[in-house]
Amino acid sequence: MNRRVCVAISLSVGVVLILLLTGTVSAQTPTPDEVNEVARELYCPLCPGLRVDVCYLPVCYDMREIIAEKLAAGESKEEIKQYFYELYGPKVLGAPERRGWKWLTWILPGSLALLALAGGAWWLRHRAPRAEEEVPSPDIPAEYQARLERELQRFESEV
Amino acid sequence: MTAIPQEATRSRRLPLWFLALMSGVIVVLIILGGGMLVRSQQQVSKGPAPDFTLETFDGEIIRLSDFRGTPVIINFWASWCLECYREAPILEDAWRRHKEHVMFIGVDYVDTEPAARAYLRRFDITYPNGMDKGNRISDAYRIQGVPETFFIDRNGVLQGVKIGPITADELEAWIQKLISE
Repeated sequence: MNRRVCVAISLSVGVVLILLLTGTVSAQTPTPDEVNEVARELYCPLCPGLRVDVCYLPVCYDMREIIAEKLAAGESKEEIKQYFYELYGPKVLGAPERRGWKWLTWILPGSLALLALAGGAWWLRHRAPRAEEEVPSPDIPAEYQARLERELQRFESEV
Repeated sequence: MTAIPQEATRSRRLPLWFLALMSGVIVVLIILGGGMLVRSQQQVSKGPAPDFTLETFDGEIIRLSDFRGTPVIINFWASWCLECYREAPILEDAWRRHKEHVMFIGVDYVDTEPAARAYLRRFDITYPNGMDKGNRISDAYRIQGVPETFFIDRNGVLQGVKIGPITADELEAWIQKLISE
């Protein structure tokens, strides 16, 4: 009886250990979704505008493999992105660098938009009403003017 | 007819600050456009060869200018480039025959390290090779793709470039030309 209990306990412990080990292994191996989560923030260094998660060039395939290896090694998304930035340069991040004169590429569009707004506002405020400038004053004879006034008064009293 | 008095005295001229800002923007755009134009130019094929440092796969740091006095052949390649497979044995063979007189440097363009190392093992390449980290060297030489091979004389002056895979005869002719100069 005791031996059967011991065997049962040993088997249970074995099963639990196996489950734990496979669980650990599966936790260390990133899923394709986890790999793609990083890959979609990186751009193919060879084809402009194509993200690594949807690119089928060999270099992007290799990049996804490296992402998987680095995730399994416990590296963060930012560390992985930095690794590829150092390897392939800024184009792999799909955005201009934020240093030196390259700041202009970030600043210029907003500045131009602000400038256009300021220019538009200035124009709206200072534009002269051209239509009114050219409207001549009504040159109505006095008798017609008086008659018009009388007619209007009569109309208003009837209403 | 008499005109209705208006605020016609208001100025329609744009203010000075606006004109100054617009001029500044136009100047910046011209500078950026000029920069893009320069970058889009063809490869460097004449004149002083752009200097660079390269960390080889063996961990050694080499600098192009350190080889002044010796002709240098720089080959840009990648493990994913099938055309590079054709010329890899040709380059290695030429290096082994002429290493006393000519320096060969391999620059690995947009590649991953495991694939690049496998490529070097596959073709038993023994001349110095390294990854072009940040594409600094390929940007300096404005390469259009791989393979490309640049020929530099013993004074550090670029004598020519071969776009696409090089043949054994072409390479030998270039080596003889560089040695004889």
